[in-house]
Amino acid sequence: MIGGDEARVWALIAESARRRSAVISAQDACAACARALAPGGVGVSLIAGGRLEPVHVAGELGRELLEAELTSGDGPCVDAVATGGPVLVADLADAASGRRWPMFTATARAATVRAVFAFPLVSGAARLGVLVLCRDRPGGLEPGEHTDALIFADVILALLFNDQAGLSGRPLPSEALALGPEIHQAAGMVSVQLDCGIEQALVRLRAHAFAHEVALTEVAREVVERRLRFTPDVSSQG
Amino acid sequence: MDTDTAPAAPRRVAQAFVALADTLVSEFDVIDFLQQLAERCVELLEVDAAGILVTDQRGHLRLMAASSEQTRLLELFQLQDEQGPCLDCFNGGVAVHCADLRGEDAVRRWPRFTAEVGHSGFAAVSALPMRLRAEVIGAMNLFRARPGAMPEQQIELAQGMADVATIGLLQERALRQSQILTERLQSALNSRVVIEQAKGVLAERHECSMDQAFAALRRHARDRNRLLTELAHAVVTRTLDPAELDHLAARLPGGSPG
Repeated sequence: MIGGDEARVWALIAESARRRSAVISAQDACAACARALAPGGVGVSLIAGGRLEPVHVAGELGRELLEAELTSGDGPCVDAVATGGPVLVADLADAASGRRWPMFTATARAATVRAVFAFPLVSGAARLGVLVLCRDRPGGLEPGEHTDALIFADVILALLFNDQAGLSGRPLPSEALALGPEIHQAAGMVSVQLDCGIEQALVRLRAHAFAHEVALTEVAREVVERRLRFTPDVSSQG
Repeated sequence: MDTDTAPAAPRRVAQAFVALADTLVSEFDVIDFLQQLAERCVELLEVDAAGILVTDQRGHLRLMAASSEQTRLLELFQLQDEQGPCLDCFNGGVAVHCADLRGEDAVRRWPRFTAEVGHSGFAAVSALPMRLRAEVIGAMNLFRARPGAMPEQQIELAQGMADVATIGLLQERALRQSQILTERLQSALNSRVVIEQAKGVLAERHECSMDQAFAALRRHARDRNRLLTELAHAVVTRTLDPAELDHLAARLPGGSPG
């Protein structure tokens, strides 16, 4: 069920795409997120070969931050992906940051980054990357801003899964942002059926839902109730 | 066993709190902790089912732990994301009680929820807020098979359990920054997702049910002194030692995988 907050964030992203006269992509989510929460400082990095590679950036500060993480090899983004939970630093000048990530803190502060909010793009054990917001002034996010940032991260994650399923530019399934435990149980089962990683299983479920014009939650239920199996040679047998 | 109206013996209450405190100070897994707490609630409060739901901070209530993995029960908790005593409790920040879910008032207030509850056989419900200062992060949901009000003493104890759940989840008694709340809540939510994925992996491999898979995970984690979430992660990412996986599998009805 799409809540009011989700609808509002989605409208911001759609507006961004409209300006580019393009289909909605993670780049639009980045740009909309920057306008809403952190002007000049948003980035998305994705895991590639065990490292976080910057893929989308909105603003100069965002670019500098992602480079700082790359250079130092540690920082809030790396930690966020490793732990699966957000790492929110209201003030890099705090002694704690310097102790936790000495190289990153020095590099980031030299680039005038003062606050960093890293939201992992994860789905359980599936770790795709990170959405990071940064500002040149200290201060934490307001509760409403936490909500919006989390929704932006959700949308970007859904768009990434969509891309991997070969569905770039297609609308997201309406329940994409409100999936229950069945989708994850189903993904676990499919990862064994196809002998693939959990991320790939989540992608295959989406591809199947689109191809058969069935809701994702319905596909998940069919898998969990063992009415639908995925086999390696054909994409699925119902 | 005490009668329905007698409060839980003080000794049992003390033992329960000591056990929970022990979990808090030793190697700590938030999902395992909440699971144990939900089970203790059923024991101590003489209710028939307990569930702990928390906000995902973007408009939804998510089930973090329940006293039983019965699908019907889980759905009953989960659908309260849209309507029900749990949602009302979370929004209002105060306890919500209903002594008779079949009564007119309940049906009028929660038409969809009461329709579902009808199938499950539960007749009464209480929802206690999980709050820290002004912040409400979720609600503890207690179902009873028999209609009737919850005795005052049990309500107090139930709120105490909800408070312990809150502190266990947030690990902070004084939340100076809402950043910590977000970090802890979201991390716990993702841990729960890892566990659901692990249940799926085990259920498929060993042809068992989701709750059998979950029970095996918890037993194995306890016996091997491993954190539940870490074990679940290893199962999903296939980084679990084959010998360990065999050991885990031995606890399941299906035995070794085909």
